[in-house]
Amino acid sequence: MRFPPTTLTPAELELREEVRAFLAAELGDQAGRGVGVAGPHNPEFSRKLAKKGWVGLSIPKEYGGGGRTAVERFVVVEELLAARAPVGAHWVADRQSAPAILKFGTEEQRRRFLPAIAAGECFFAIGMSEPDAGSDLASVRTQAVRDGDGWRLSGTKVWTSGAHLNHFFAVLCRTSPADGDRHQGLSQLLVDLHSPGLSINPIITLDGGHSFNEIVFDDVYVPGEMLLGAEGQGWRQVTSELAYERSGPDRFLSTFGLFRTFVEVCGGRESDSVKAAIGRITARYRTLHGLTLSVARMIDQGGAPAAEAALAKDLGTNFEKEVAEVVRELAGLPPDPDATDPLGAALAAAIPMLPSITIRGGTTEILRSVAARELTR
Amino acid sequence: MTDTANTHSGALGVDPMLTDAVNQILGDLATSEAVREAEAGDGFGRPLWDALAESGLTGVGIDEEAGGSGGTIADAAELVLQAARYAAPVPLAETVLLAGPALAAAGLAVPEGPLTVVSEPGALRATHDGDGWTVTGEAAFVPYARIAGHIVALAAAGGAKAAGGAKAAGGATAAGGATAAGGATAAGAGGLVLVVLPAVELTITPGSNFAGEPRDTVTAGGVRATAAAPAPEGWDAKGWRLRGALARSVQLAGALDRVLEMTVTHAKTRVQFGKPIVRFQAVGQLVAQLGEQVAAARMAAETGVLATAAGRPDEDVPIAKIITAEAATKGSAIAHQVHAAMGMTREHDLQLFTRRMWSWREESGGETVWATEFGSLVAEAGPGELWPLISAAR
Ligand SMILES: Cc1cc2nc3c(=O)[nH]c(=O)nc-3n(C[C@H](O)[C@H](O)[C@H](O)COP(=O)(O)OP(=O)(O)OC[C@H]3O[C@@H](n4cnc5c(N)ncnc54)[C@H](O)[C@@H]3O)c2cc1C
Repeated sequence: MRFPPTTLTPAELELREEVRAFLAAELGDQAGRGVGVAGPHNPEFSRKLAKKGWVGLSIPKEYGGGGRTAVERFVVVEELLAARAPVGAHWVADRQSAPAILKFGTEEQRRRFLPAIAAGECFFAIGMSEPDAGSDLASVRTQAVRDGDGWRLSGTKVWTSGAHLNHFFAVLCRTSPADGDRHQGLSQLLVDLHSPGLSINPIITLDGGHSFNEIVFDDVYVPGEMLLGAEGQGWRQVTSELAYERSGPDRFLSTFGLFRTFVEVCGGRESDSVKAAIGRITARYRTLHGLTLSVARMIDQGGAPAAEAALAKDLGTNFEKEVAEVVRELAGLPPDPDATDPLGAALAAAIPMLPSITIRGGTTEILRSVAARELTR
Repeated sequence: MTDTANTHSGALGVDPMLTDAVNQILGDLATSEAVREAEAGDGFGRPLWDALAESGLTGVGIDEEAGGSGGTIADAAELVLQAARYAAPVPLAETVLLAGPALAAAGLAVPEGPLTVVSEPGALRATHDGDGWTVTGEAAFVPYARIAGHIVALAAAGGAKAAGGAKAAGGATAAGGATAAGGATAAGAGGLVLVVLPAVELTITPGSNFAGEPRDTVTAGGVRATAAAPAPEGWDAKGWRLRGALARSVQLAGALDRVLEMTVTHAKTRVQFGKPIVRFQAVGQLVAQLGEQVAAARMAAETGVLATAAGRPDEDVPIAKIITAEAATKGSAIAHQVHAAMGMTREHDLQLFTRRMWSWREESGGETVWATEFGSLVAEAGPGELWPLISAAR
């Protein structure tokens, strides 16, 4: 496994400056504050970004996208996350649904969804996990049976982030019995979250927030043209989708806002341990930036760095948690959601979120297994 | 030692033929036996050095006009990384990443034979007496001093230890400039002068690091420098320290890479409970974490090399040392855990690498030293500069 270091081209650097200037104007001194994986849900902001051409950046031009490379998308997305721009609405559509539709979808699906995603008008959620299928995703039980040209869907999805705010999701379901090999007989359907018979039940997270949902399909009709890719190829497709889900800068930047606040509040302290912590953490940020950028470059060069993505995500997500713990230890402040001081408030926002970082998108244990398999091949 | 697949190289844009050439020699002459023999003796693998010198590899990264073989710092770093993958008992890093390029930068001829450096700038003092520099003082922990032909140091000019501000040394009035042996009359940045000392005229007291690599104490009681020049651009006290840190970072990355390879091999071949231990998930998870540390270490070290080549070492080299030292700590612990009792023996090769890692992570500044220094820089720049600094163009 190798991660060749790569440098940004002048064109890529120019793009970055453009995004930086836009964000400085849009967000002002709110830039870089707060914690979380993707930033708040804000359709208006998503459309504004789309007008700049920064949503669906790597969708080909003929489908309304920017026709840019994976590295260019990486550059834009990294800036958005570092500034903690409100990109939550289009996040999943841009990161993984669009590439999946481009790769596996029919021409009709591409024409229907890709321009809408690139315009910041069509938002997606992820329909993978179920009550009895988490890490062991191939054990999903949601079932689609033929009904004329279409399908009838029944079952339950869970932990579906943003389902109550978004428009569609790709649902991994069983379209034929396992017959020995559980990876056979799975398919993906593109399902309208407003379909009759589909209910969205909020699940409240431990901090009192609502981002997750349970989705119940009660005999939901899905038109035949909404099958994504080939029938029975769902497992292969979902594995490819996970590579996109795992490789990005969202996997090391979710507590960057907390660190930035720490530097702002405590950076002036005459303390060697504060200085050393800032030095070490900054060093690791730049190294993770280098590793994830390297993955994006490999994708542009035609590689399929799934194991590299898993390895980088594991390193990145554990680091994100460590950042928060180091800041907490050195700040010596009680985490207080009502705090007027920015650091106490940032800590209060970060602490209850930390456990989820190494669960979503594949747990630590699963990622390490993927990486180990590749390393010991 | 065996098993030197080429997948271990290439990231620095170095010609694979160079990597192959050095691996060929290392495979033949930096065997486990040769490394052990060197440690039991004077610490130096002379046959290995001679073979490397014969093929011009000890001059890589050093300008041809200065007597080197040409090539870039990336080429030199690739050789050093590969040599570290074999625990090669030669001062290659000192010669091709430190002494050689420093002399070439100053326009001085690079003497033949193994070279080494005094890592602390200003540890020795130099005074000018009309027609040359005389050097006095004591420097500890000089790598391979006992076998080096020449020792290169950044000496404090005019008797003041690490004097601030460029000032003419020893009352000389002529403007400074890089000239031939002993001809420099003014000190460079920070009152430092680059001097070449013939090892035969120094008192050398043997010492060693954890790994049994020579780290000697050098005493100069008024030794005439065979060549001298003002500290050249990029080689002031800070630049000198950064170069030393870069050299050890590259070595750490190389050693870590080898340790990962050994750990994978061990996990696949050691059988317990009727199966290779790699099949126990807990072991696989350890291997994955070692892989993560190696990936981070190589990324940081290679980025440090590329940044130095571009003349911007100030951020990426401290980062390289911080990350490689952290990786050495975590990586050596994991490798030993997987090897268990076998890895605790002198007989097993693992210790050839982990003892080096435990030495190198501290040499030229450990992670805390560099993190404090780099962190001060970051804190001073302030929160508004934090992200631009992290994502700075490489
Ligand atoms: C904030 C958040 C948002 C999410 N959003 C979505 C979403 O939008 N859509 C969606 O589909 N899912 C979503 N998920 C679900 C997420 O993908 C799953 O939580 C994850 O895959 C783990 O599944 P699980 O929670 O059922 O844990 P389990 O699979 O039950 O795992 C429990 C524990 O057992 C360990 N374990 C399980 N199997 C193994 C094994 N083979 N080897 C070693 N250890 C093992 C796990 O590592 C874990 O520690 C989200 C989760 C979180 C926390």
